[in-house]
Formats: sequence, structure tokens, C-alpha cells
Amino acid sequence: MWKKDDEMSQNPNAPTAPGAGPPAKTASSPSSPSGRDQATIGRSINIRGDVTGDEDLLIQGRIEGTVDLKQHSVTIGPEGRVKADLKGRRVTVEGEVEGDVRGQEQVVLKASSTVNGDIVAPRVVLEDGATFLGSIDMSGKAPAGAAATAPNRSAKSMAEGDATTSGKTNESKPGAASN
Amino acid sequence: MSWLRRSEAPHRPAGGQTPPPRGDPPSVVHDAPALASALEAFDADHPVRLLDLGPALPANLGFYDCFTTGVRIAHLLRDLPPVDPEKPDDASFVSILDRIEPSDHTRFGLILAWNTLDYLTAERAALLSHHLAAVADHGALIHAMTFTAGTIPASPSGYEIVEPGRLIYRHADQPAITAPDIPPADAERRLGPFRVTRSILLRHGVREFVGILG
Repeated sequence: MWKKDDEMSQNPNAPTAPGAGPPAKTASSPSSPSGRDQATIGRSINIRGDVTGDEDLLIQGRIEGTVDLKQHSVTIGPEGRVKADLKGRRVTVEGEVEGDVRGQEQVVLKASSTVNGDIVAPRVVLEDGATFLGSIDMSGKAPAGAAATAPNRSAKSMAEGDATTSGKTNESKPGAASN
Repeated sequence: MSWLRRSEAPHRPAGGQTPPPRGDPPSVVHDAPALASALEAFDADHPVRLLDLGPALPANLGFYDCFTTGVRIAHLLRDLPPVDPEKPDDASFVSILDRIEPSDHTRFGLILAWNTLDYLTAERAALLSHHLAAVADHGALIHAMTFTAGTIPASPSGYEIVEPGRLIYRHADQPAITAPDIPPADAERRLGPFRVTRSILLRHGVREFVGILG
């Protein structure tokens, strides 16, 4: 179950949805893309504070603070509005994020997303139509595709401009179309 | 990999995705033979860590995926601070150079600096080049382009890779300014620690540079 840090769980003045008691938790849903338990922060919920937890999370409401679910998937739904640094195993954004996003495996910005912040993940998918303002750092990723067959030359020889001697063609770079 | 062979503008997204609601911005297609040649050095068996100084574009991310072990998209020219002659240390510009720092302290082998020279003063370009040299491997390649004629968008836009030797320069309908027309020798000086090995004048008045570090 997801849980909020002390500020939210112990501070009765912390902002929540109007008229709400304990903030933001809804029943777990089996509909997580990973097939695991997934909590949902509903569209009427506002959270200011730090969100941590031990299950996948779908955010349809508003969060201001931090979201840290390093071992789990985090999805910001189309109606989700997050002003926070986000950490997750896989992070998918369909709504709006203002903050840095770190994915241990992957970050996906869907066409409907708006992200203003930096992204760090081994793999980043940016769909056409996504609005993104920030830098991306994909470190430690493995190149996609199968091994190329053509012989390769040094960068230096290529820089010197003897490319016509290469037997390599565009088709020797497989797996390019990844998104 | 039919998307690799797209050659006609306007662009349509690959993969059957719904195009964005906005109209396609004006675009100019450029051949880039020196870039194509430089990219020949890299593939899945010989991957490289890549630094792209431009904005993140979906097609480019997909293209880089097949020959890189790491990618940093710096979007260096966003929010470029104005030059303040009263502050010769240009600290505001130096601060944004943090965007090119790799997070894991490994160095880059390929740097794409496509339109940066057009929007930086000679002093800032030299500062950038020296900063790039500090985060690049010996033998790293840099590829840059400058407009030598006509106009360029008042605000920097992004180049999108269509295929290894072909780029589309997309820019929204915005005011244009006169192209800087940097003489080749000046451009080579601005690239500083990188030794220019190829310089090709392309259609549309764009000049392409490939340099190597060391």
C-alpha cells in the first residue's frame, strides 16, 4: 500500500481533498499494467507532501512534493497534475509534471503529456505530441537491436572523410524504430 | 525501418500514432553528408555515448537508440541568458553548461551541436567548446552546422533526423533574424579544442562541420 510520509499522515492541517479524512488512498486495482497491485490517487484528491509506497501507483489527482516508488511503476494519468520530483521503476506520464523524473528502467512520455523538468532513465520514450522542456540523461543503456554485420571503422577515420570505403549501409543499424 | 528512409516534408509520425493537434511547423530539409559519414563509426556493436545539445525530439531519440550506450539531451539553448557586457565571466551562461554534465561521469564520444553556433557569441561558443572537451573522450567527434545565408528563426529550434544523412530543421512560425554567416575559419576557432576535419557547404546556405578532439 502506498503511504505518505509523516507530514501528511500526522499533520491534520495538511491539505487534502475538501471534506476528506485521511487523504488520497483508494482501493487497490488489479488493472496495473504490470498485473500487480496498484493504488490510485483519484482526480478529486490533492496531496502536498511526500508519497512513498510499495505498490504501483496511478495518479489522477494533484500532488505537490515528492513521489518516490523506486521499485514500482508510477503512472500520471491524463488528469494527473504533479508538481514534484518523481522516482519509480517505470514512470509513464499522460498528464502534467513539473519536476524531475527518474526511472530505474524506463520513462515514457505519452502524446498527451506535458513535462517541465529533467529526466534520468536508461530508456526514455517520447511520443509525438508530448510537450517536454528539459534535459534527458540515458546512462548505462544497452544499444537496441541485433549485432550489426558490417565491419566498422574508427571514429577518427570517419571524421577524416573516407566514408566511401565503408560497406556499411543504413540497413546495418537494426532496431532503430523504437518508438 | 521505413521511417529511416522518410525523405519528404512535412513530417508524419511513425508507428501510426495520431499526430499532434497543432499543425506541422515550417521545415527545411538538409542533406548532411558529413554527419552521415561520422555516424558510420557507430552501431550496435560499436556503440557510443552521445551528447545532443538540441531539444528532445521523438524521432531523434528513436534513432539514437540503436547505436548508443548512453544519451544526454541537453537542450542547451532553452532559456539562454542574455549577454551582459558588465559581467565578463558570463556566470549565467556558465551555469547552464551543467546541462551537459553526464550523470555518471563517463565521457561522450559523439556530440551533436547542430545550431548552437548560430545562437552563441564567439566567446560563449569557445566557452562551450572547452567545456565539451572536458566531458568528451579523446577522439570524440563533434558535428555542427551554421547558416551562412538567409535568415534563421529568432529563437532556436531543433533539427530532426530523417536518416543518417538527412535532417529536417523545424521551426514554428516566428520572427526571423539574419543568419550569422560565420566564416569557416571563425567557426573552426569557436569549436576550439575540436579540430575540424570536414567542412561542407550545403544547400540553403548551411555549412556543416565535423571536428575531432585531440
